[in-house]
Amino acid sequence: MLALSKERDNFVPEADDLVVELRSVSKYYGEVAAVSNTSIGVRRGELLCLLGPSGCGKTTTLRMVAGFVEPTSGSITINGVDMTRQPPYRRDTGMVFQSYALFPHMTVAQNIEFGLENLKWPRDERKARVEEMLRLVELPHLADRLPAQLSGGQQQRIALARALAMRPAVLLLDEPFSNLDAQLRLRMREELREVVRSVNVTTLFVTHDQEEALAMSDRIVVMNAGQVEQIGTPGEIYESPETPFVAKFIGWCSLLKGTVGPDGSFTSAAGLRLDGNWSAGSATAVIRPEHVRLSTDDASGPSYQGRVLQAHYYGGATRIVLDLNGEQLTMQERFPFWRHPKTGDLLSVTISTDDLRVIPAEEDRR
Amino acid sequence: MKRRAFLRFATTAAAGVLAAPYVQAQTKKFANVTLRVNGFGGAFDEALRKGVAGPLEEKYGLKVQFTAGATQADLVKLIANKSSPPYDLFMCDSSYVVELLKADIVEEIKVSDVPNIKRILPGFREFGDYGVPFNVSSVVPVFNSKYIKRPLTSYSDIARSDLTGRVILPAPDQIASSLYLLGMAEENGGSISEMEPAMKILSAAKPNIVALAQTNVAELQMFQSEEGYAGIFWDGRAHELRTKGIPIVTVFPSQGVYSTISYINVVKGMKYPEAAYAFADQLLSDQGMLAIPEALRYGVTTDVKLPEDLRRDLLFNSPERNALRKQIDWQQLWANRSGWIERVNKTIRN
Amino acid sequence: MKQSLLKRRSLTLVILLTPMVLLLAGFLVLPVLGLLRSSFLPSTHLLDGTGFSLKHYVHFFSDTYYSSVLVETFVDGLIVSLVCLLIGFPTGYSLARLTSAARRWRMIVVILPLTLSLVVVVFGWLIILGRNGLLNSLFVYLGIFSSPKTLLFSRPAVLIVLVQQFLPFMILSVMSVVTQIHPVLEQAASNLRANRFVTFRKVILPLAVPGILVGFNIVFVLSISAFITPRLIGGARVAMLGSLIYETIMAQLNWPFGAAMAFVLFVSGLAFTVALNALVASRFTVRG
Repeated sequence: MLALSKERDNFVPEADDLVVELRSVSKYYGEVAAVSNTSIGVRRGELLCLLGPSGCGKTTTLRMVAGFVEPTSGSITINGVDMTRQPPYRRDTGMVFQSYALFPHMTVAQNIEFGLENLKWPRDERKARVEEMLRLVELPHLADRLPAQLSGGQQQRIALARALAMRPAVLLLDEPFSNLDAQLRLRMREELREVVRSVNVTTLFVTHDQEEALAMSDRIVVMNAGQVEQIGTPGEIYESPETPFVAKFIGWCSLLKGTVGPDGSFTSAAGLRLDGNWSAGSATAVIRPEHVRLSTDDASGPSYQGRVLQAHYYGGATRIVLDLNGEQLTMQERFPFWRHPKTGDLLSVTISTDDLRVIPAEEDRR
Repeated sequence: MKRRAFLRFATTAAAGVLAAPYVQAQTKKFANVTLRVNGFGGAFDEALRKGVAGPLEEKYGLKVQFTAGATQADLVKLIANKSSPPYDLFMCDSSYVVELLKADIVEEIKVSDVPNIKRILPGFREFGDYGVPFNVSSVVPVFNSKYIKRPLTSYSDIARSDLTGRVILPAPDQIASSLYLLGMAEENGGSISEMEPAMKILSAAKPNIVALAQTNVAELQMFQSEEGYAGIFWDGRAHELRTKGIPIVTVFPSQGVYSTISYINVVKGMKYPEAAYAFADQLLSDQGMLAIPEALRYGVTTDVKLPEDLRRDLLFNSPERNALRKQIDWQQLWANRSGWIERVNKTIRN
Repeated sequence: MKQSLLKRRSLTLVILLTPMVLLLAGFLVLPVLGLLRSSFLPSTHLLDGTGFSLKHYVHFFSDTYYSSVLVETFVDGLIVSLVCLLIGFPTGYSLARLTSAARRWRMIVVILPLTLSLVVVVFGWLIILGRNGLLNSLFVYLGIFSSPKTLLFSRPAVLIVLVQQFLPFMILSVMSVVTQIHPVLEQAASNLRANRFVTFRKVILPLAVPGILVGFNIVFVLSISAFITPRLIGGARVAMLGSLIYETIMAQLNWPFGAAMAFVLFVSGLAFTVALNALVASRFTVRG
């Protein structure tokens, strides 16, 4: 399963100490809203992630914070100062671009020093800071190289060093791992987290990769179609999605539409019944693979017969799509290879309802 | 018709039919000949087509083909292709005849070949039996009477102090420039080998000079758009300006006029000398001689009687005036010219 | 195996380059060598005679008039190139930052003047700058001039017309290099606290140097070899070596001296652009 970071449980950002605050920000391109009426606060020291599918407005939001896009309405403050109409170079942000955007005609050291020059730091302090940053990203031997002579991972680290050198109020990361291959991506994710933690910088981070978001963030803002769906910690987002969109987008799940009866139990449209104590009305049940288990003797609750529609072997486990009374559910199990299920096989499963989320229809606002 | 009478008629008719081609051949004796002539272009060539080429074709079936171009370039072409010359007749002004003679590429033309040569006025055959002069162009002071109330009377008058910023002259590489320089020299006691007086006048005229025109068309435009009100120009071009409604007055300098004569030359090695002589003879006839003056008001070179309207407009319209046309040592002018151009460039530009 | 591949590649290269090399050899190198030879002829007329003499070069360099015209020609070329750069850079830059659809008709406007015959362009300017021309009429109407003034036949007039003629070359070369500079670099600079001016000076300009140099070289070389414009617009009062060469060859028929001047212009122009390029390259390429 997704490894949620626990090592920072001792760090709790203050809810009212906001470094960046967007209030009712909208951005229209003609009639089309890229971002509409969005309010987000980035707390001091936290790593906040904007997560959503492409075109959801997360990048536009980040670029509005950086100052590359001017909002149509609403306001943006950084450390309490209104920055809504200020040019990028007056804003206390440091950005790592998706393509890194290192200056090709400058050496690594010159790239890192560039922002410090513009901030009018004295020369010796600049040099010291450049060395410090190169040590931080563990590339001091590359100071005199040109960006074209670096690998993708090295370029990314230099871009990070360049952004952090200025000690910005907020670090902005725009899909920082999308140009790296899968293996390197995992390693860089760890490294980036470590570096960001060690300098304790407030970070706003954009990604479309939910795994990345869950692994790295203190809090996640899930965005869809220009609006915020839910803001919460990775645990909250995963365990108690507030909308079917969030449920579907974060992790693997099956959504069952149905109603909650007066007795608190849920009955799906196809008639699958789940016992529980939910509030009555139409609702959507979020069933994740880990909720579905093969029936064992000591299992509590009812057992269902399911027909295997698809079975995919993923090394350690097999992901199975089951047909249960006309509802499709996904489960994930380890099978001994001689008992590997095939399409058409019947399996007996139980559904754990303890931490099962049923979203009432009125919460499904959109 | 009686049989006898018919026979006689038939015989005569047959003889006539048979003889026809022979008679035709007799009158159209250059029927298959085309003379290639370099042209000056525009109205000049047009006048020659009308007054010379047209009648020749009618009379002899002789065709004349004018190829308009810059004389300098055509001359270079001719010198470069001595073995198969691109032209049969070469039309050019006095200065270039010097080059033709130096390159030894033209034939003599004698009065025995072209009877009309005896009609040429004295002093107009500057190169002995070489070249047939058919036209004279003069470089004269001119002014716009709308703005200039005190007429100019000499070449040197362009340095007059009331003409500041008003004078247009042909550029030093133009042959017109060599002629007015010579005029200014001789008006002030100099000569073709003593140009210092001319250069002094030019220095004095420097604040007056608006522009040095690189081509005749450019100078024409300058006078037309009133970039300047006075200067030195060709007599025919001054007339052209008058026809365009610009009140340009042509001055006849009292101490003498400097002109260049247009010649037709027979190129060595051309195949049809007889046709060339016929061309020259027609050119010197009344019809041929008046063609260019009628179109462009440049002067004549023979004793042709001038109709009244031409007599009024032409610069040389009396024996007294003809006497004031200066004889020019073209060989020496051509030899000294480079130095003059350099001097003018330095004087005007620094 | 690798050897033969290399061989085949170099053969392809030879085949691809041959037509170009032949063309250049036949129509550029040989004539230039011919020019060089004729500049050493002792004659002062056409291509007469044989022999070897340095007299034309001595004449050129011993007469301060000619060397001062050479210097003036270079100064004019520099002025024209710099003005073209000042006007052409913003234009080329903004063109590069447009979408290709929006760029299309603007490009036509930029290129159109190049398709006109030079003589047409120059006569157009004669009409605009003439005493009864557009500009004079406008200025008199607006009361800036009390009466029409002579605008033609001056150095500024020549320089203006040269700038108009050669500007497209600068615009096109700047545009082509700026399209290679990704706009995200400007955003990065701006994020790194660089205002527009600093971004231009430290990021755009250094990266655009190759295009600027190409444009500068083209405009400079075209300007110092111009002869029609200085002759017609300058009215012979503006000294540029090109028109002197034309005059010497066409009017004085002094081919050897014309050839010597042409060769001096050729060599000094080449030396100047090479030196300029080396200087700029060393200044703007990366240190370290």
